Amino acid sequence: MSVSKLEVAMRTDQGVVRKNNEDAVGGDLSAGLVILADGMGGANAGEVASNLAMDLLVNELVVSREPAAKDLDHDDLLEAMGRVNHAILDLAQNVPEYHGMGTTLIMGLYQQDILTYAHVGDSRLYRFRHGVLDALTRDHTLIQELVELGEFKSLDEAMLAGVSQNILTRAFGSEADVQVDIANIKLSAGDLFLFCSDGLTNMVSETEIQQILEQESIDLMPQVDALINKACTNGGADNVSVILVRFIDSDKS
Amino acid sequence: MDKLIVINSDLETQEFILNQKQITVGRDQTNDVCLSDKSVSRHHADVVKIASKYFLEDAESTNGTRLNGLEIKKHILKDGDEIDIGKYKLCFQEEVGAGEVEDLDKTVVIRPGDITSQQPKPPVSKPQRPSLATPRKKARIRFLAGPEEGEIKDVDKSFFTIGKPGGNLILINRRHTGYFLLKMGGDVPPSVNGEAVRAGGMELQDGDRVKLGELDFKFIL
Repeated sequence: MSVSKLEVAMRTDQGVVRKNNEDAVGGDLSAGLVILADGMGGANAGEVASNLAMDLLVNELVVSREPAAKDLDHDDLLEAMGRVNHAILDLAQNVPEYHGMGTTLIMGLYQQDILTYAHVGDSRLYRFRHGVLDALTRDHTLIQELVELGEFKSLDEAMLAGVSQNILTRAFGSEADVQVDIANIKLSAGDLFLFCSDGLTNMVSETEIQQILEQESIDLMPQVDALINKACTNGGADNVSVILVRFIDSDKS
Repeated sequence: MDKLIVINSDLETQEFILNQKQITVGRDQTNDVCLSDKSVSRHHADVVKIASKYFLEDAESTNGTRLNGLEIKKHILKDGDEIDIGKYKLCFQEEVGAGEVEDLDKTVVIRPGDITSQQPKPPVSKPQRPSLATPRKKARIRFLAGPEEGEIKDVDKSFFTIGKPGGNLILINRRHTGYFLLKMGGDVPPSVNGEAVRAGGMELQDGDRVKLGELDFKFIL
């Protein structure tokens, strides 16, 4: 496996309203893998779902793999994610306290000069390249699907018609077969990637995100903190999680 | 069953079961819900089901459609909503599943099956490789402390949990390549033979001693 040369910073924060944190961030940097999950479910089931999804995925893709195996392809990732879904469903059925738990997930895998990213739910991935912020993922939410169906012209119009933003159409733990969106993108030196939970995007506009990312700093951590602080000062209604990844080069040595 | 209850000015009620994608409301006999009064337009409004949710749409009526007192063009419906069309009042009743009660802060998941414009796509999960099949050797755990001290349990499920939900909880995941230990609950990582388990868990070997808080057991393969 050839891992890209990366700089990574990440943090998850409870926000100012919630009493617990159901988000999880992590991965395995030596394998070029980052993962962000936003769990849901009563008691502490949400945080169990998000942390378990992340842990199991690292286990599937890194811990239980032969060292120096070939690069991971889409089928490897989809199979691993299928098993993560299966695990959450299984535990939700067999442990009464975890009944109904689920989680979103966005993952990125950096191999040479390619980023493979996959997601379910409303956790997002953005790319910031040459001063332009692009959303690479499309939320699996009712409101987004209604706009895509042409029922409403924009998210704002759908919101005015009373459609709430917090209805997901896909999540791990919701049914036996969950369709995962997966794609590749070619990397260019200096690309900055933002993985985040809806606790950021519901609180901070894309313009505000862009303004923070434009303040190029040598370290990424202050930018992660600035994004999370912005979400909190704007209300911090939900848990906020941010991962920033800067692609240096494809380390062909 | 989701329904629309029509109440006329004499307080007589009539129920309409919502069992099709679109229900038309108007003065004409051709409407699914026929309200024969001059205050109602010939085709006045529609109740449309989109992606498992109901929407009320005004059909450019002369006197307008009001939802809970406010004039609307298109709006989502929720259980208990009141609709005014001409001299009639309509009440929308939606069957709400357990735990599905509207909570604006809570994220919920709906079945995506109802989103009709999308072609059904093949499910993602491939036929399982033999990875969930039982490894040849049976694994067990023996408790070394606590109320179950000395007891032996078979690791008899693909996802085997030890401990208490909400407290210290360990997961042993059985796969064709072996048994993997992961943390599910607790404030600190579990340890195996005195070493903390990293994110992503680790493979268990025969004789490993696992500890997490009050949990203390040996893994036997």
